[in-house]
Amino acid sequence: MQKYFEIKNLIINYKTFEGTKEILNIDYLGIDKAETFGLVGESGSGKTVLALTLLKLLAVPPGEIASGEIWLDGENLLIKSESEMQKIRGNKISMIFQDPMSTLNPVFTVGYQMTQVIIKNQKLNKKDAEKKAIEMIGIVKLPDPERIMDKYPHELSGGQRQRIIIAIALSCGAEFLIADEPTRNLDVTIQAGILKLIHELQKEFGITVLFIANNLGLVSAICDRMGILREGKIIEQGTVDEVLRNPKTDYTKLLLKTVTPARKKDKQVTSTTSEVLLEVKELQKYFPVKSISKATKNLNVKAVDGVSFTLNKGEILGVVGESGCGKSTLVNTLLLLHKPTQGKVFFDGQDIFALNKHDLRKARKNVQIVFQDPFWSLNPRWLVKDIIGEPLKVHEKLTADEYLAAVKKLMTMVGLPPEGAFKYPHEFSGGQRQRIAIARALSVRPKMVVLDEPTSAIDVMSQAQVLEMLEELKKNLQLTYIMISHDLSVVNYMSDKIIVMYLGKIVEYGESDIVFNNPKHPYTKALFNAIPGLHTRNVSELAIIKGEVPSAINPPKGCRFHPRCNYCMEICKTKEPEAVTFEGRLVECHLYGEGN
Amino acid sequence: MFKNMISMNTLAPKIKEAKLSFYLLNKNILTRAALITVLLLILVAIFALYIAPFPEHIFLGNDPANSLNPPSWKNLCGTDELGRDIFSRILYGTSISLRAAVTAVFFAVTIGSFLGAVAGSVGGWLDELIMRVTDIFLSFPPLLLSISIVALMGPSLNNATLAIVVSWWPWYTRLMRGQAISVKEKQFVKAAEAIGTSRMKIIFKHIVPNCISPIIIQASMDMGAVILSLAGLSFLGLGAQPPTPEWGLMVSTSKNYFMNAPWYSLFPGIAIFITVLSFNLLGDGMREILDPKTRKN
Repeated sequence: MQKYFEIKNLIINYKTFEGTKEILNIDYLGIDKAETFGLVGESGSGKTVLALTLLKLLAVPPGEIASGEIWLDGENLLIKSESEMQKIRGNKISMIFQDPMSTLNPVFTVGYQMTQVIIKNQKLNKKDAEKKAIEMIGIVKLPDPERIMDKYPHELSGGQRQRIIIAIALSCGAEFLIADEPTRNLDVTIQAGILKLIHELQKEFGITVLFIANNLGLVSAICDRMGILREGKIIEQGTVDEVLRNPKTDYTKLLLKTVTPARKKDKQVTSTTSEVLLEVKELQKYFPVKSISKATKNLNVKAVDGVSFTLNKGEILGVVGESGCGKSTLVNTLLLLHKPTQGKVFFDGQDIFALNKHDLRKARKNVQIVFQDPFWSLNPRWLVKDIIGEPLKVHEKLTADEYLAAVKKLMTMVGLPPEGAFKYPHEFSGGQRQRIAIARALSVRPKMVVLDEPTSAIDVMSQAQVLEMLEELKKNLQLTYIMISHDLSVVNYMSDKIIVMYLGKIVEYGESDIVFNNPKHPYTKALFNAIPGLHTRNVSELAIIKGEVPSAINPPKGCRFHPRCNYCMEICKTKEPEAVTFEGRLVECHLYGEGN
Repeated sequence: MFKNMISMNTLAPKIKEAKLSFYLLNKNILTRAALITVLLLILVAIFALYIAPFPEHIFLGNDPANSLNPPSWKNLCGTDELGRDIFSRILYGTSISLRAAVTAVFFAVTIGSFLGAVAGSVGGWLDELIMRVTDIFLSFPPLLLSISIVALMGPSLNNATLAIVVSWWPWYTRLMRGQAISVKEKQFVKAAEAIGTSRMKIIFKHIVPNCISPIIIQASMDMGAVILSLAGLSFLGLGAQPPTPEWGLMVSTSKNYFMNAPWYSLFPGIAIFITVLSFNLLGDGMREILDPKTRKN
């Protein structure tokens, strides 16, 4: 029997100047009506090409549909003409794109964009279209639809924008929805909301969803059936249970293993010395708001507002929190990439803010950083040997031979072939580039390395390897890490201690075993429960934090989390909670104050 | 041997990149035509004296008996009022125009992008200062500025070139500053800062090399405009002086004989047209190669 949606023998080639390359080769893929099908693959496996092909939006050339059929509801899409496709797009198939920031046109209001789509596709008059748009905004659960209609995209948050895009996608009654990593750039708490929304809409309207993701957890949470895409081929498909519980191919097994890295069993606080390496006292970093109007003249964005902690030699400190919580500002200030507003930082007993220019340059040697995105943290016009050796050139005087030998040694250390020294960064994969960045950070034998989301921009497969290597290097070189990540499983896997930040403040701080197994602060709890894992079989298990992160210019009075907190009490609205020790960790919450 | 190894290894990616560039250049027929024309123009400029049928006519030689002859096999573009072979003079004019334009663009780019890089990377009062000076220069209409400079220093080709440099550098400052500001925020710059790399090194080794593509694109597009401006200044009598066979000057002299000898204005005009057009097309092509955003694959 024919399914609602089918792909048969689809082959897509890309023509480059070096010849023709096969991008996709799908023998068969079938999706039933009202089913959610998850397609998982690494970047470069052809996911997005597939999505574009389904809408016939693939750029031809360089793309080329060599052969195949795509059947939707008994119609072959590939033989349709462009004008026929225009009728199908929007009305029958709709797509939610990866990046909600760039999908909406910034110069038109949300309402205008929505009504335009509705008028064009459904031939309604303006008034009805507006009514319909308002109704759709209500359906995607945004508060106050009439007001949202008049807003411009930049006035909405990422999550709200993604909801608008979903509303547009569904406004013309599309029955088949392609979601191309719709939550990729969103925070976990927002992601949970979007997932729930897609799931509910799918159940309510009986739409069929092709959900493209690079994360097995997401697929596990909302899909009925799934397929694994690798190098353009679907190597496995079946129900989510079948594939995840009983994977058939080695690749899927490997993928599953990397998603849930086995928790380090021997994980105790490894520093036997408990010698304090870093001590941060009441650190503040405010960014002045640039404005000419008097009302906003002396305002500051309080990115980091009074943060204190200590870090022992040989420990790994994890810092987690939503975007905008100040975790990146915190480490950038520690690295003196920003000047602090107030507070003191002692590194190895030295007050680093009191150093003069010369000593500071020397001291920089001791603390190095590995940035999130290895595509922008390496100068694209330099050879790898110059990139890795840059710190050596700054801090040490070596002859050309010594220098090259040192670079090659570093490359071997991070598991890169030394011949690669004479290549450019773009010739390496994401994981390899992150290794280059790590080699650069380690070249001057620092005492501490700051890892700013070291694995978030690289493929799942390489993630586990990079983490393992970092672990190894830490042991061999006696390093101390500060690790920022929004991926809690990564932090859980690596860190000895953990800091949870919200709006510039630490809400919970303690040994990661204690905090992870039994979070106390309502924010920490919600954050931990918002992340879909392989065990998540239903989106309703995911926690959502109501509302949006408030502005750091005017943080809420009292406890900063109180407007979004489910346990909010009267005292929370007026009095800022002190940090108290509760069951082995520091927590800033009135629930755990004296008397409770 | 060691040196060899380096060059071998460093060369490989460069060769690949060059291959890609060549492929992209060749793909577009207009760009290819422009590239061939520009290469031909450069060859003509270098060997003008050897290929010109009447090299003695280029500057002074005169032959009043043959003045204002229409085009013929002997004089492909006809002769001028002194009986000189216009074709020979146009050929030699290529070298004059190209040399002046290259000089002008070179200095405008160097001065402009140096100041722009400093302004964008350092910021603060230095940025303010440089950019306000730039604004002042940009507030004059370029031709007016050039004319006043030449009027001040006396008409000659060199002064016209200088005038062009003075009125063009601020554009490069602006362009470079914008680029530098955006590159400055990239993580590899932050990484260099965290390592302790000195500021000068950051500006000239990290920031500038990553800003250079749009400058090259702009420069190759500007070549045409600069040639046109130089011809314009010469036409007004502010650039090259007789008997230099400068195209603009030739058009200017020819206007007195336009009714009787239209070929006299026509052929130098065509030379200007072809040169400017091919540089513009080449600039467009360069953009396609250097600006990854417009790359189609």
